[in-house]
Amino acid sequence: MTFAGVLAVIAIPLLSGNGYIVQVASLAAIGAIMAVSLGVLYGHSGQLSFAHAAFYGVGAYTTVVLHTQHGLNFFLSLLVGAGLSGAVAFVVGLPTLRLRGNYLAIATMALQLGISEVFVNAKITGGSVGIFGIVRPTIAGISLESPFAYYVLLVIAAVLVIAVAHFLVHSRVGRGLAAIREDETAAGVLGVDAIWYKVSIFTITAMIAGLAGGLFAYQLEYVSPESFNLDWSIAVLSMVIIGGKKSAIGAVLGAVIVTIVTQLLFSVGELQFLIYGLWIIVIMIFLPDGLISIWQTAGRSTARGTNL
Amino acid sequence: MAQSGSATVDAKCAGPLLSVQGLTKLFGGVAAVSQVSFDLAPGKLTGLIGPNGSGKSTTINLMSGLHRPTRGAIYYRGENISNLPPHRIARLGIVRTFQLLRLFGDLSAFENVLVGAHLRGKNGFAAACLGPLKPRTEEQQLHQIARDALEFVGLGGRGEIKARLLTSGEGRLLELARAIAADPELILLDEPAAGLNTAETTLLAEKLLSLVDRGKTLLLVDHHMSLVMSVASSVIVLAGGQVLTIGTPQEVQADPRVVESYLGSGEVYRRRRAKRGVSEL
Repeated sequence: MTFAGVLAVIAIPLLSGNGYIVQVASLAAIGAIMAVSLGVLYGHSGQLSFAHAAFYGVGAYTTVVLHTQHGLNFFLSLLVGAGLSGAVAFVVGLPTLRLRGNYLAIATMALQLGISEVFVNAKITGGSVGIFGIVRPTIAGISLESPFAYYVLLVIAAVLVIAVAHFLVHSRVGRGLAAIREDETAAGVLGVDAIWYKVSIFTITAMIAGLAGGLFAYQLEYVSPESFNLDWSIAVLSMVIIGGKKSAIGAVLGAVIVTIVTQLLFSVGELQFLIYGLWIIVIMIFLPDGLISIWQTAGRSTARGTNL
Repeated sequence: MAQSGSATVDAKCAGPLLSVQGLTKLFGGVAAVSQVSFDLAPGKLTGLIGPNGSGKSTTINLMSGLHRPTRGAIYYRGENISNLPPHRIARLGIVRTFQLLRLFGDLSAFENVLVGAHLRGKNGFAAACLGPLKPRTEEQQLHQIARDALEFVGLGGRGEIKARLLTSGEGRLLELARAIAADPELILLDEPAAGLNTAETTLLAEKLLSLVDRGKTLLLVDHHMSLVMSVASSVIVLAGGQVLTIGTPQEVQADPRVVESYLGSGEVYRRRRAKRGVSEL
């Protein structure tokens, strides 16, 4: 039943034949990948990153430079982009995650602002203008040129990422991460190597953000720095908080809602960030586990811990 | 708990399992413990007692890697562990419980114990991402270990409850179950009976003795003499951050200095009052 419903929702944009609807749905799929990634890092592991847009940007520029400008295979370019995002996260995470508390949030905020500057000023990124002329690839003889075909690729990627996040959370290391979130000292004396676990999950989720960035570049068909600034990091955080920070389904729900509302509020410009802010505050006060918790409380049969 | 083979005492290790030598810990110049030395015999339950502020918690924190000693060292099976981080010490086979409960509040009791079983598994991040492509044998083993540990402490029916919703007595038992699930050789118990009623304390004593029967080495920290005296085979008494005496429960109870360190607080009180009386005059 649920499965059929999800399939129907995914299929609507395709059946609509409406280019605008498919574009919004594509952005929602990319948003879902980002929100699931940040949900695992923040909601499940308790580590807050404000640099997810920077990792997204590193992935986007790397993929475009390698594939469009140097003719490397599309998937290989995506993988290198994700890998480079992960490498940046690893280098920043190693010193900051030795400390407890909100140091990662502060360090990633600085990283985000710094990388945004690089995007605006570097030659390879095309500066503030960005890079135009990105052409969607043809894979195994199937052209992804049409936004409808590319949307299918995005949905497949989102489903894979959600599956990996689900497996990760419901594994031995997933429990270790939840234990770190709840009480790092107690996790340590039970043998959980907290620093290694925090650095690993930060790196993995940054790689997923890099992958999302690479996919985004080819959705939009051009890249420019304003797609990768702090606003987008905060928008992803709002998806996680609005949908539900402890649930992958919640994160996806948050991504869909925020993407649609962003489109509706496009005309109000900067004012939309004020609206985000208000939303986040209201949700954090009244529904700390996000909108998904309404549904979860209604259908609760067991009092299990994490539901991601 | 059936597979507690690693807990049997190694024949080569005829000496102490753990040896604390000249341990000193200063906090801002004040010695919480000073020149503390003692050995833990393998397969025995050793008690560590002393009045409040005598350095019991500091000692256990040093042994589990939460603090680093200012001077002195701790040897486990001959290896100096005094500068290892907590997770490395746990990996060597030393696991502790906490006086102030440190449960994973938002996780179920069962999940808490599964985290306790962390060291019994090997699957890392790569295996986790593979999900169902990887056989579930290890996960099933860990679940069985967790079920057995919960059953052992008598929380078999409470596995699905979130840890923060348990009573404080149940929380203490869950701390014990979590430590047992790791199948350590040495368990450091920091006041496991605090807040338990008489019946629960009796039950706890039985559980501890049955762990000793399985070949575990236990260090029981408590300031309640009666529990420690009834289960320990030897007792270390701390006072003012130093070892006052070490002996069998009978010897320790008969030692006038021990009686004084516990009951002598009346003496201190009298002296303080006398001093205050003087200054008031």
